[in-house]
Amino acid sequence: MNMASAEFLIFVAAIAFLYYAVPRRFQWLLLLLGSIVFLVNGNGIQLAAVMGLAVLGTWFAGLALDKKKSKGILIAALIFDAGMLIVLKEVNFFLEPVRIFGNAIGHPLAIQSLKLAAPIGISYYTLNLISYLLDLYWGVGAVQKNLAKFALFAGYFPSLTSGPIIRYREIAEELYMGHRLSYQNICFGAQRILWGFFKKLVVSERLAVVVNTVYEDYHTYAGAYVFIAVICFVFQLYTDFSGCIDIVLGVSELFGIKLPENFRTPFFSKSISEFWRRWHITLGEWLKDYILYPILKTQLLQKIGDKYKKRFGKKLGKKIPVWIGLFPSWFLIGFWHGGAWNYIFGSGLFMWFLIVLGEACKPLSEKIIKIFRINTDCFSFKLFQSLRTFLCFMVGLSFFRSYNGFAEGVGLWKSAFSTFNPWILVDGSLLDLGLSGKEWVLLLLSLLLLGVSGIMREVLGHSLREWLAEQNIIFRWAVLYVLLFAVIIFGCYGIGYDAQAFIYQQF
Amino acid sequence: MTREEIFGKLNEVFREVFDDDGITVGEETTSADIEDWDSLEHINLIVAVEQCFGIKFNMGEVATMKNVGAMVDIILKRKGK
Repeated sequence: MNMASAEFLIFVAAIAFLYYAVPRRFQWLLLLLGSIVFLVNGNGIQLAAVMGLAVLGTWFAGLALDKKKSKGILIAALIFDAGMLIVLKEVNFFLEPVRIFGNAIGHPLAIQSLKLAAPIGISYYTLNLISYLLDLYWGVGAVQKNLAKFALFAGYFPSLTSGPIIRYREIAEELYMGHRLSYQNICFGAQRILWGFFKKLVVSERLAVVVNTVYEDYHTYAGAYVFIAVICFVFQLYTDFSGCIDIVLGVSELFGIKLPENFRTPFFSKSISEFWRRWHITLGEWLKDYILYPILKTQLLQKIGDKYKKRFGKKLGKKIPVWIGLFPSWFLIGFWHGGAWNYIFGSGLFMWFLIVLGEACKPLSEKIIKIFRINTDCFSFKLFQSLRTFLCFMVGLSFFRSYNGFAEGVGLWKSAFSTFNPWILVDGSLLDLGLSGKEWVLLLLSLLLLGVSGIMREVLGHSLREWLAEQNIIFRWAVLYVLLFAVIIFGCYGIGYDAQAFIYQQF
Repeated sequence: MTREEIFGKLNEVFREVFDDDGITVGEETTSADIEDWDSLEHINLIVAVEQCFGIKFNMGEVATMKNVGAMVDIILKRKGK
């Protein structure tokens, strides 16, 4: 069930109606029922059973860990959960090198790429389950003895297919407690869903037309066209993913359950590290707590740190183990998006390289700032930092979007620098990219609106939604109607008023 | 060891780790209050605190410590054992 579809909205409305019609102590059961329907509808019975197996295994492991903090049980359960994810989703990533090696040594192996089916949301619920086990083992999380309640945590349908990644210790209380029907929850939830639809249907789907046109024929659309496409893809991914998260958070808000935010105006970031603390926040936090910190705290990296502190001094020496520890973490971020080098490089290792480079060059940049007496506390310098971060992220994403492989990304950039044609920006050539003049204007105005919304949050400290709530009722409803009709009239729909699936639903 | 004594020693550790003699930490001090205290520096700080007090934080504590006050609570618990 695509979340940007009429079918999904009807489903949510029906669940919300029943949710507030039943006694509060049964509300969580209704959410569980809704999640099962959503899961079976999206997966079919067999794949839903595969997810059920993971949930059941983790639940049993949780009960065992509650009785005895056994490292053996923890490791077995982690291998079980992570193994399912890796085997069902990324097995070909490991088969390919074996096949290439066989060919290289003159013994071609009859290894075919496997097309295994994985349950929807496996990348998300697996991380939820792993965090539950580790929190329990580390003594900072509680056990859930009720299997049905545990299943709801693992498969809560709003966040199942695209996140945000949730943690049992943070969500359990709200998930199982009853919620009174609240005008604010319904109103804010519906507004947020509408905002998400606007981002997806009016903005992201139009940007997708431009991006797809150039990526499919980047030899023809060379030079400035490529730059337009890679910039558009950054905004496409942002509006697609954050729009999806707006719908998820809005739907959950209808039930009175607040899920963690996944974005915090990332384009205002002044460095790549900061950017990743504001973009896909729950994934970054998960990797930090469950992968990076345990790696950095190992004896080996501590010893490396001590060694390099003696050799290079305290300042640089303490950074080296951090850079080493960041490498597997960033590899996993890329790998989580997909077992292919375009993802591993574009959203993983390239970001690692930029972070390490930024840290390593910090003394040099501080010297330059001192020598040239550059004012770092003014708007223009902060703008420069944000633009630099945007460009770095854009280069990484250009590879991420190269769905036909890493070589496509290389080819794309060769094409970008193969010709000099900036006049296409003003001579009407942009109309060849699949959007009419009116659609370009609509797109730019929509992006401007998103920019204003971002500036309000960043500079004034409150959201457009909060600002709207302070306005008089006529103005408030007028704005909402304009937004609603903008989505209905200007939204890009497919068959049956359904949009393309969200990009992050495939991960 | 009293809470005040722990804060005194923590001030020294923070000043050493972040190279800033002006740092004075309190119950409510968080990473937002110290410029260089980001997620990457966090582990360096944790290890320095462990070495100073001769204790070990478990990974759950490392990830869930909300502020310096929470850190002091854990140190007191460990030293009390």
